[in-house]
Amino acid sequence: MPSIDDVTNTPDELTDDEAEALLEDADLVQDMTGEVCPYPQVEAKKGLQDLEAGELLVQETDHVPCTENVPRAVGDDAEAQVWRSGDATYRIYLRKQA
Amino acid sequence: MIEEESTETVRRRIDRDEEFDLIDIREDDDYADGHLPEADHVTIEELEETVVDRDWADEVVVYCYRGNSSIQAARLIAEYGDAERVVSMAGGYQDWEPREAVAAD
Repeated sequence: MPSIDDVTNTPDELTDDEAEALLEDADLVQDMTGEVCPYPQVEAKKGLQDLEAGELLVQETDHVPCTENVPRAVGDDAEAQVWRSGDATYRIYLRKQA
Repeated sequence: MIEEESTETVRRRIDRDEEFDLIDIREDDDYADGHLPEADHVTIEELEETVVDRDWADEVVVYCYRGNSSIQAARLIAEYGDAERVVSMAGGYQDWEPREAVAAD
């Protein structure tokens, strides 16, 4: 069956181990499960405002388009990576830039 | 690359009675609260299930809340459907201004 995943342009993907290690290091975690655009974009921008350069924001989502749209919304404010659970959930890792 | 059309352009299409599929991918409650005239409600999950089998019009316009997720949904239709042209409505439903309130019966 076609999947929205097939047509979503995500940033670089993390391995399971990388994703777990980084999650433990996260400075802010936002659970956006069940939420759709534009709320996660807005929350990501607000979350990054509260962080210092180099700190990490992780968003958990089950809305695939967010894996493309959230990184695009924050633009150069953060370096983005994505982890796919393989079970229809995703994490978006946003490292705040200077 | 999915083209975007403004709400004004989509409104003109509707006013001219052009033949195209208008797809609203927002949540059920939000569609029930209000939507563009003649818009079909098809969530992304439903779209994944039906995109291949549906008999698409030559032209398709997709919209969501702000014109973000509709880009991916439009890509899905362009990739797997039989439409000739699929566009996303820029700004989404937020930018759509109903010309007049629809009075309740």
